[in-house]
Amino acid sequence: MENTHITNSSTGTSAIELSGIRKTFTLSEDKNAQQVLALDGIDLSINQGEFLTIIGPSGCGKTTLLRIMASLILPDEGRVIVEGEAVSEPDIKRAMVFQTFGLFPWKTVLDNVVFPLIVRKYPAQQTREIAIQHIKQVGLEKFQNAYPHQLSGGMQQRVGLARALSTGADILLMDEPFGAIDAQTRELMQEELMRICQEEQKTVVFITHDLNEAVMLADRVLLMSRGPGQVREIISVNLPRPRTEYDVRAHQEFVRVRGHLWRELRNDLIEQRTEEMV
Amino acid sequence: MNLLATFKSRRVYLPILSLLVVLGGWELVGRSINPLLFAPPSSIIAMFGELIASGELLAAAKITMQALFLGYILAVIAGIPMGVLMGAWPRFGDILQPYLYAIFSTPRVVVVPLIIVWFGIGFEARLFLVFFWTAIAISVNTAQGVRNARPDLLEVARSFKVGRYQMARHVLIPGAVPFVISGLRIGAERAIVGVIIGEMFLQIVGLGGIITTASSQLLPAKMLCAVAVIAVLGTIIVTTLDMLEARFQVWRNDSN
Ligand SMILES: Nc1ncnc2c1ncn2[C@@H]1O[C@H](COP(=O)(O)OP(=O)(O)O)[C@@H](O)[C@H]1O
Ligand SMILES: [Mg+2]
Repeated sequence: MENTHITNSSTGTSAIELSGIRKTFTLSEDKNAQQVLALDGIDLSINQGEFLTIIGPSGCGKTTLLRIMASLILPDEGRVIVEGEAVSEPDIKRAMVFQTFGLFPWKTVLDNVVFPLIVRKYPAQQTREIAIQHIKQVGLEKFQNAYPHQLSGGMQQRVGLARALSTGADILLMDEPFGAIDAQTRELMQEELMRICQEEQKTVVFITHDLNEAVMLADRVLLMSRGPGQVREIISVNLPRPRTEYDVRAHQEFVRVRGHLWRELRNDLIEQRTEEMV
Repeated sequence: MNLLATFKSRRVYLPILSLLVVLGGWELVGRSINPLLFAPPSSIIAMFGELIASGELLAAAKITMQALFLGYILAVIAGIPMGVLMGAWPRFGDILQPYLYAIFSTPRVVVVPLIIVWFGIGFEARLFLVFFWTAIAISVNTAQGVRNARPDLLEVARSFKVGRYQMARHVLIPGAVPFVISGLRIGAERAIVGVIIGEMFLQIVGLGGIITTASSQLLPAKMLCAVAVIAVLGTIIVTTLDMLEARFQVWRNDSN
């Protein structure tokens, strides 16, 4: 367990700090409806510029945790601190990338990427330039005027990424962004994402259900357990950057971390099953 | 020979054949019936020529179109924002909806006496008959569209901290477009029926007025001329809506 709970205090204030986060959901509007404890006692500090991946069995509260980090929902207890300030509403420091892309089907690629900028009172010309720059960054300059349904899943998520980047947010919150994308495109997009985030010094919280992806991308991997959702372990990944899938797979550190996570996840699933059987 | 080939295709000659048979049958039956009760196509065409020449039909159509188009446009202007409010603010919608449904499903002839009391029998009364029911159709459908907004897209907009106005403009209304257009269609039917009710039961003017007077003067050919113009007005509105729909749906999967 010597790798757990490493926090890097040398970078000053954390990008995101969670303390004592607890969240229950009520399953219907009924007064004595069943309650689900989705998250219980989450403490976490994410460094600026860090790439944190989150992995855990489905239903363990990953999405809930990310939505709390985005202030899309509020925790019942606990605090969310972003760059030193307590937050309770979405703001321009944080941008989400969604599992199902979340593109507006009635807007072109350009208009989708411009969308987050309309709330800021920039001149139209300037928002257009910013958007085009980020569309180029994800390699879609030829598709500016296409509608989402004309693009493949991978391309749609590039638009989702360009949109998040166009906000200028320091923190990207990504919920299984490549989960619905075919394996080869995904590898390419992983490398692009790492390149962009390193260039722009983004802090990234990235949920995945893919162990390889979790280790490949991460500075640290957060392993969650369920019933209720808790932090089971945080592991640092000491692999040099820039990384490519091809180099990293055979690396001793990759194999070590991946193996460790795999055993932990497996134990969690087995524990769960025995509990259900008792 | 090209023309002949086109004519040989079933999609062309069948409708033409059917039209000839129907008109021919109508002409035969129409001539054998008392002309006070029924009119064959030949006398309708003759009457149409007369009505155009005297300017009566055009003047009537103008009166009808004024109330129809003005009432319809006002209904669109009021109905869409109203629907957005009702959809985006469900409690408001829930309070209003029962009344709107009740008014909407009441036959309009029943409220004619009330409308006379409120608006008299002139242009305002006809405008109201067009406007009110059309606005209800549009607002109820728009509200339904807004309430059906995709929750994932609402969350996207929320994550970028958009305000209420922008939420309506960029997310709720575009997402509700198919519903709005079906409201516009239902509203168009309501508008035409409304304007004709006004012209037949309030002040005897316009195309509806021609129908009323022609039928009391036992001039079925004149009556049918007015009916034909009303049908043409309806077709113009529906065709315009079809074009509008095509224009708004470029982003749909079935396009291109
Ligand atoms: N809006 C909600 N209402 C009720 N229950 C919810 C809601 N969101 C999540 N949950 C419940 O909270 C738990 C965690 O869900 P989630 O965060 O989506 O898990 P994960 O993303 O890890 O699969 C699940 O049991 C889920 O059913
Ligand atoms: Mg999830």
